[in-house]
Amino acid sequence: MCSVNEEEGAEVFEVLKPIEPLELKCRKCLIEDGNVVLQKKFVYCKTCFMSMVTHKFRATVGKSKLVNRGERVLVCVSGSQSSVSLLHMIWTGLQQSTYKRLTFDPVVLYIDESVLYDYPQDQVNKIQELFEKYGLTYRIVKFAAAIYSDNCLDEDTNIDQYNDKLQNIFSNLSDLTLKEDMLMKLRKRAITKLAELLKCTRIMTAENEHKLSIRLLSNVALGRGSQISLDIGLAVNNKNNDKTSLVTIRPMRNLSAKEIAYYALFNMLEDFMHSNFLTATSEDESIQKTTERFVNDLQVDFPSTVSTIFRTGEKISEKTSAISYCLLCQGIMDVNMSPSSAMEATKYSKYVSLMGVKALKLSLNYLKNENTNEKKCDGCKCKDKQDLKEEIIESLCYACTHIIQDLQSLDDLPEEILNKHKEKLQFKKMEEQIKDFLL
Amino acid sequence: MSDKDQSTEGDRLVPKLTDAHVYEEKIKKMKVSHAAQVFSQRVGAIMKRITVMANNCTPSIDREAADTGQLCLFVDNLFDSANGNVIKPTPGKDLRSAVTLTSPHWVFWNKALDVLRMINNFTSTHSVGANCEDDDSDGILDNLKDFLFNEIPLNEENEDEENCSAQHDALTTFPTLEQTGSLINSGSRAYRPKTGDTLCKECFYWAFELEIHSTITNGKLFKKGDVVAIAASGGKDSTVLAQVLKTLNERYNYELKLVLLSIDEGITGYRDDSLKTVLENKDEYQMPLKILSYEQLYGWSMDKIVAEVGRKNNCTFCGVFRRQALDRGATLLNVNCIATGHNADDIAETVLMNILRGDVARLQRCVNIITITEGTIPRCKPLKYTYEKEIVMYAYFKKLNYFSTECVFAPNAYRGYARTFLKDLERLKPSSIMDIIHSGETMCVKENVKLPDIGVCTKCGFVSSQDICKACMLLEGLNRGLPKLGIGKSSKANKALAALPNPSLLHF
Repeated sequence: MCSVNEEEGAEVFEVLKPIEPLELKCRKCLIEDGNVVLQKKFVYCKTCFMSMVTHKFRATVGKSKLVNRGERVLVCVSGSQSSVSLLHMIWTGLQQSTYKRLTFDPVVLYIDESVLYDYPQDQVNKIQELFEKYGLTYRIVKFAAAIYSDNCLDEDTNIDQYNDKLQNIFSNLSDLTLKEDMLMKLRKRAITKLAELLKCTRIMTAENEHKLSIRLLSNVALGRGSQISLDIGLAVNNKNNDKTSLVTIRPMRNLSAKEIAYYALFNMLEDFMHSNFLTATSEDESIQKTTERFVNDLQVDFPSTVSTIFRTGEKISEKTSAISYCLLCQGIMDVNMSPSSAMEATKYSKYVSLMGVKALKLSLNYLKNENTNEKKCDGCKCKDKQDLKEEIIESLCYACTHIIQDLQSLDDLPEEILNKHKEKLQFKKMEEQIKDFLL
Repeated sequence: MSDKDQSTEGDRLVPKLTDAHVYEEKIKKMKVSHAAQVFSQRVGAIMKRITVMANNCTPSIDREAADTGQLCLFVDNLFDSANGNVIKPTPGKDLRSAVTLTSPHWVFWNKALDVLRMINNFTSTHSVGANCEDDDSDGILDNLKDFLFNEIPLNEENEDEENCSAQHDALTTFPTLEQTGSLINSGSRAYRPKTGDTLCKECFYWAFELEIHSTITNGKLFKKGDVVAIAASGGKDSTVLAQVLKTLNERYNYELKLVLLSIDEGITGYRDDSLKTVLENKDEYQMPLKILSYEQLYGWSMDKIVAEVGRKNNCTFCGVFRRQALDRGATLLNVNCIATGHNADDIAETVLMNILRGDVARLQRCVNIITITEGTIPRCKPLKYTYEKEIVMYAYFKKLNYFSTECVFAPNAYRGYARTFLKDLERLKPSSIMDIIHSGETMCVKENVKLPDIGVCTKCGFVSSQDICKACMLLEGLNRGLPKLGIGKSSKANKALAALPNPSLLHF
């Protein structure tokens, strides 16, 4: 060893501990030879690994009795490894004859997004075959139909028209980040709608720990901090559904991508092509991909990264005092922000750069008045041009505003959004009329 | 005039000039090249000449045309004076060259100002007014006059301001002038990192300062008569903070008393140099300065600490000690508030860091613009919504004197990851920084999550979540020759402390 600078040298070498040879036996049963190494040190044999993974899954489902006996549960399968594994786990759980049997009534759903990407022709057929094999109730619905059609469960003659509309929306969005964000929101919309149509009160999706922590970070980067619990939480109560409360459960959230990959491997589960807009794009083109790379890189050096991010997300909740919800993503609206907030500051800097020196003459109060005037005038002032866009933006959350601003035409948005918006506006007008009489 | 040119003269003097240049109804789309042609030297000169000649024989061109010709010449000169791209002037185009102290530019610009003011008053009398159409391009004319004012120092700032807005309003009725204006100023503009707008230097100053002013008033950071300590490190953030606070304090009558507070960690080759900058700032801004050193507060300078604990973990000592040192310094100075130079990038980075570390308590706290804890002096971040890039730009334009060197002791590796990530995001979408702060502001912690209780250190009396605060723990470790004591979990440190032979002998 180099003897120059001995003190510092000792420091540096201290970090590099000699790599201990791994145990060959499974750490659980201590009999079988190991097949899998997790977190660089834990060795499991196949059997013990499987029971460990299944246990994690069942513990998440069973936690605080989220699903009642005989309840209809919508199981969303995209064809990804994660979702195929979820399907297998549920099926296995239903087969068990003992007390451990899962008792809910699953409806498997596949949303066919082939209109947006080039999938192999026979993908839908293959998925249908798979579903047939499991013998569970299943539905295969076209994405466009789920979004635009009212009776999307039946064959629709207008499907071509809907497909065009859907493609239009995405071709109108120039930014990859926003495209992907919009896709996520529309998917969620479709799933919620189908769950209602199929009379399911619980939804199961197959995101794993890894995916959720990436989603958490990119949500933060997109300004969706307040919606984190909606997007990664275990049970999310869609409170805006007045009649039936719909709960989304993510039973795979405690499993890592690696664990799922091995589960699929050991059970010989075939997964399917499953794309989104970020597939095969460079990491420097979208926020989501940049985040993914960041988390992956960090995970290599600091193996606890994913789980730490994930646990942080678990401690964050939505505001309880929410008044209104975003029309597009159904997230909480950030209304009544204090004057000192990022939102106001952004507005102000836009204003200042626009007005230049003129802004000097106008005092802050004036600015505020003008702002509130603008808000109030929305019903009457706007005549032509982008008035609809501006109106709709009023009822969107911070991050969805970015999407709509990038969208050139609003004609292709699902009608429910536009209708709901009109309803909201009508209500506002009514409120305005009677406001003097309210005590 | 081109009409006359075509009809009366056989050989056309101005072949390039067509109807499209002059008649309102024939103007298809005002192009810069058209404007340049209208206001060219040649047209101006010929117009003047023809009018003088024509006045003797035909009454078809009235006297006003001569003035119009003059105006054309003037605009041409104005254009040249700012557009010059050669060093040596060509004959007849004296102004189309580099600006030197002796060049005719200065005389001309002074005149130009008068003329511009005149135009202001007599817009309607000039026949060029026929081309008028209302154009919404706000700010371009600002640039014209801002540019001029930049070059020609004016004594009174107020007058400057008045002229700006006044000229702005009047000149908007001159679309052709505007077009030329945008060309003239292409050099003096800057791209704003935050909003993506292009602004000239002067407008950028206003926008930058105004935004901080609005942050201060909206966040109610200061009260009238407050004594505010600016935590000054000599770096760009604190230097800009001092400069802006001083400017705003005078401009908007905050009635604050500003003092500089510096902490000398005792890092040779880093802090000693940056403190020199602070001393210069002190003289420049005429603010009292207080320097506190780790040596005098704790008996340990960072150099000594590093010698003891090594290069790893030394940032823990520095950070923990500085936090308390600032509090102590502020108490000594008897101030009402400490203003720190944290900018938007810093805050967004901290939000990311706290998510990565799973520190929910800090995640909530770090986005607060003002932190008030009982028993301590409130701290505020007036630059919370200001982008780092804009701070650098401001400092660069204003030629502020600041110190920029990384600390000689290893930069904090983990924070580096978050920083790179943030820069990547900013490149993709400049608003990302604000988006992250927005996320941080709207996130809520679940009710059943246990957050650390805020108490007081039993040894030194400063705020702490533990019985003994981190600073005391670290110091105790140093003094006892166990430098690793306070690093890592506090429960372990407590155990180690309890195991020591005589825990009651802790001395402070």
